[in-house]
Amino acid sequence: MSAWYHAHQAIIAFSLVNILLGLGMFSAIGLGLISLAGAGFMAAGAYAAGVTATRYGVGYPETLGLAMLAGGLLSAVIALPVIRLRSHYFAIATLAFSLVVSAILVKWAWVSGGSVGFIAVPLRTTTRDLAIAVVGAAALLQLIFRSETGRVFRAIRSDEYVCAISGVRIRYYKFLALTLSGILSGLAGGMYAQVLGVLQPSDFREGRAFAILSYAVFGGAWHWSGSVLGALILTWLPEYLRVFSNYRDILTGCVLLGVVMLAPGGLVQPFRGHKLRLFLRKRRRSATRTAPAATERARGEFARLPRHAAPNGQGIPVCEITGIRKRFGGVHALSDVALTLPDGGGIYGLIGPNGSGKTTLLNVINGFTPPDAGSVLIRGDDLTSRGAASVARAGVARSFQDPRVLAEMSVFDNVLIGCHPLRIAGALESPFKTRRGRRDEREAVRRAETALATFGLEPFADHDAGSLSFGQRRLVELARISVSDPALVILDEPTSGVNPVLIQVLSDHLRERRHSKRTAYLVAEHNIPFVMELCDFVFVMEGGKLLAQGAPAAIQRDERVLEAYLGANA
Amino acid sequence: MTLTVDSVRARYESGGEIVRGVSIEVRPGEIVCLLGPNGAGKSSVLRAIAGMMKIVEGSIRLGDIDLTNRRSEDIARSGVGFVMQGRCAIPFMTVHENLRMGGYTIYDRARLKTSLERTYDNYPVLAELRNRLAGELSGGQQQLVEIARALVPEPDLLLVDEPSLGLAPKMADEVMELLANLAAEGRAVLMVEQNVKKGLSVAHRGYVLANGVVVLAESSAKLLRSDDLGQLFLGAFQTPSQRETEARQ
Amino acid sequence: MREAVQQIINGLEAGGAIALFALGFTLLFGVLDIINLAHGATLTIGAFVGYYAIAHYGAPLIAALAVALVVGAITGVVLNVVAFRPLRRRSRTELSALIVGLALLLLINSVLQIVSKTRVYTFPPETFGGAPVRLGWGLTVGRLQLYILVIALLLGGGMFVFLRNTQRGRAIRVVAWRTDVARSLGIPVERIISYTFAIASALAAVAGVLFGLAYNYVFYDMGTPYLLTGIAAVILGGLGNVLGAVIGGLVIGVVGSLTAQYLNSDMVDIVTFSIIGILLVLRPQGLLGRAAVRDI
Repeated sequence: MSAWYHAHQAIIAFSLVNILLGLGMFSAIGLGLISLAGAGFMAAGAYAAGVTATRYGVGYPETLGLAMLAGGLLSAVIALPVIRLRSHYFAIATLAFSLVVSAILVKWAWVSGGSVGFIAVPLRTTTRDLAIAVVGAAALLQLIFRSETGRVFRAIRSDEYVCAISGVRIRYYKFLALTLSGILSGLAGGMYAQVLGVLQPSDFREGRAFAILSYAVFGGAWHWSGSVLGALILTWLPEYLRVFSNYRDILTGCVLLGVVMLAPGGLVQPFRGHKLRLFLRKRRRSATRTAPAATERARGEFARLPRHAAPNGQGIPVCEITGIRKRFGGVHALSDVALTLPDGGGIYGLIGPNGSGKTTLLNVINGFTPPDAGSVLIRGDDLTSRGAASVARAGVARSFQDPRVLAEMSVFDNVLIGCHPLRIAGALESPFKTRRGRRDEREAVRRAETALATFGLEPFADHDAGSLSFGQRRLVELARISVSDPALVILDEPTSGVNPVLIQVLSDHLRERRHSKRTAYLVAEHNIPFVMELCDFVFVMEGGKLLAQGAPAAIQRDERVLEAYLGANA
Repeated sequence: MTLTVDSVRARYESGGEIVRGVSIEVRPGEIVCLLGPNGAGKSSVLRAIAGMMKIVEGSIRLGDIDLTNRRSEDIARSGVGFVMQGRCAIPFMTVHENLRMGGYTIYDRARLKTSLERTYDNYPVLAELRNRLAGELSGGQQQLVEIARALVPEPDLLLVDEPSLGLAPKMADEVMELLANLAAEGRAVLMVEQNVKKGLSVAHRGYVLANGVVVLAESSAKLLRSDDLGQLFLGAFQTPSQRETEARQ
Repeated sequence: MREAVQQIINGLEAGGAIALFALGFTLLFGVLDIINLAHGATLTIGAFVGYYAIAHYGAPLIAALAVALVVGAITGVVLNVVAFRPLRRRSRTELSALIVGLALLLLINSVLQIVSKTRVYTFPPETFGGAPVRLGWGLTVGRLQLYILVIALLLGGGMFVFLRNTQRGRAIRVVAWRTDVARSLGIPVERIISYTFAIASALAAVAGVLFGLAYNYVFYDMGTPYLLTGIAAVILGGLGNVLGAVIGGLVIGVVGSLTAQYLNSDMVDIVTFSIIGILLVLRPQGLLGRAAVRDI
């Protein structure tokens, strides 16, 4: 054993470095950030450690600290401009970054020794150090994975729209993830320098960047273990294939190709096999469960009021929009629309023919579309053009005509994300199980379980939300948006594509909620009977304007409304 | 060639089953209008015919050609023209180029040329706008381009989805007249129209859809007169209890 | 001043080849929304084909280009059928497409490495025969250089004509815009995508021959640096914009030439990649491209 170890010491060390790099990569890709900046961060760490160790005799632990700092700082700086780019452009920008770092290093001979390279970095990193670093990084990632932060990361990767309407500050989380990626990659670089003893700028170019990416993709971007597996296999495989000498890279390429084509979720994907996953999730859930009091469950009420809840009866309208105008090119989607939803809950209908501007109005209210003019007040706060996440945190929830769920996450996790606006512990706090964090989680779990019961989703709690039928996904969406006790719930055509039984469930739920008087519902619908039966008050839109508003009975008799639907004579 | 839609159930990729058992017939020389509240599945029926939905049950035939679950491009080549909802004129191409794209399935250059000339003869407005970019035209002009484009390959069946949407009333009238002329030429036209009265003013027959099924099928004259249509929309405004009360009186 | 213009002319030669490469690359992005890293491998394949044709079989330039063009087209179609089409049936393919392209790049490079036994191929001196052409004002351009530039411009121009004035070319643009409208017009979308791959790869292969001749250097890994340069050109012109790719290519070629002359040849990389980075931060849609790049 010991002989084998000594014979392979170098490659064991390198595979540990690559695992660390893979974990750094996972931090980014776990959110769906296709980052090719790992090479640049690694270079920063490697040279920070190498140069200070060689030139200034800096002590070993300090060099590693500097390496992490270098990687972290650089990633924080890069993150700011790059995070708002869409996936392709993000990938290219991070690649460009890595290449620029490498090119600068070539040029900055004082630091790097030019393209020839830098020799004589003290060999201070032992395999044991590397192992400790890997275990530490993995432990950190596991803590994150199991916390709300990890859940949010996965949610961002799944569907950013859902995150936005759940009040997630997406850019902040991306920034954190990229910085973590930088720190881990920097550390890997610092250790790499002191294991190899030689540094060359060409070691940190596109080849390195793509190799790091492939560790994460090969193993699977769902759990960090995938990156570990990917790094191990892709480091060792060429070694074992060395036998085939020239054919080594061909085989590696084939393996990589095969995995991506056949197992799109990476190698770990098959291990996420149905039964195993369900079992693990169920076990995890019962560990965190705190059974709510039976009476609470029955009434559907919650022990703690949401952070944003103002005391009832203050008289401030839950939603007040005035003078809204929106143009798309030459089309006036909304012209001077004004609408008030008073305090005290209630169910409001929004109807109108195709092209009347209903969807645009909803998008303006919940913050997806900034209006050209006018203002949107939610409970007295002016939230015009503040963006969907801010509006969500102010207590506005929204469903979509085509139900949006986080497909690869369990139904339970989907509903848990809905509690995000209520949490007090932030992204940096929650992995470390502080008291606040634990309280948040208990409360969230309690609410989620109640919601699952209310909508009859308990049998599916551990299933992937994406595997459910259309109607069931509709229910998951409703459960998700109801858990945070929002002040205003916007439902965009909730009965579309849904069978009559589910429509009944939906209207029963809405009727029940009406009693609490705490939540206002704005239901945009084409299903007129549904609206007329359920709503206290109806708004009618036509051609971008508010045509009429009033009680259902009045609307039914309104000539203008009938004409809008049946059409004027030729 | 008669279009026969027989007990079709269809759904989208994302899973929602919108068409729940629809049977329709359109004969050559007829304009048939699909009516009904929004969300009833009218546009979806057209899309199902055009091959953009998955047919889970039933069949769609044009004459003796089976169109069920065939690819859209094959259906287009089988003599079905589709004018989709909203602005589908290719904005970065001229009117002439748009029309030429309509003739993509015509391989014989001479035939294409004749077809285009015929189009310009029938729609002199387009001849004037020949070299203008379609994206710069008004809504009504673009709608005209889209319809003319769909007609270039001389389809036996024309599907039109909400032709008057977003058009000024006068333009909408002109478009309706155009469609009426098409039927007079012997084509079959199946139209979804939101504006009930306008649609029925040119159509021979109408089918009223609700919740993905046909609830009423009559000649347009009868539909325009009937209380039922009013009931469907009006009555749809009444709650079941109100309807009951009225019925008892 | 004259020196600068001479450098610009030199830069245009490389720029022409970059433009052809970038054209194919941006076409694939515009139509399919993917970044095809295997495009670099197609370039290398073209270079190898060109080398064998010219150095081993003594073929004239045009013939060599024709063969490379055909081989490139076939390569593109094969890549599409084997790798990219199956990928399209899945959702969220950006990452997968990147890795697939990468894997193919690695694979093809390795095969070429074995075939070439890691040697660098150079063309026999006769290839570069012919007196330089005098342009007046003391400027010269090598005969071969001139041919390369003319060929690049002709092909680029030909592409424009194809995309603007032929049914198939227009069909490609319609498919890039909206596949549903394309289908309703009877356009066979999958087949058009294959054509796109064929054309883009044919251009990459030709670019490979031109690069090989321009720098007298054919090597199994030559595609990778050009891949990065090509990406820079495409970003500069706007991802998805065909005219932008050509202009971007020419500009990058000239910038590279000027940088090498007036700064340092080491700086070329830094300048090129910095351009990408700065552009993406300030104006991701490039000079002419689409603006829809920002996320939510």
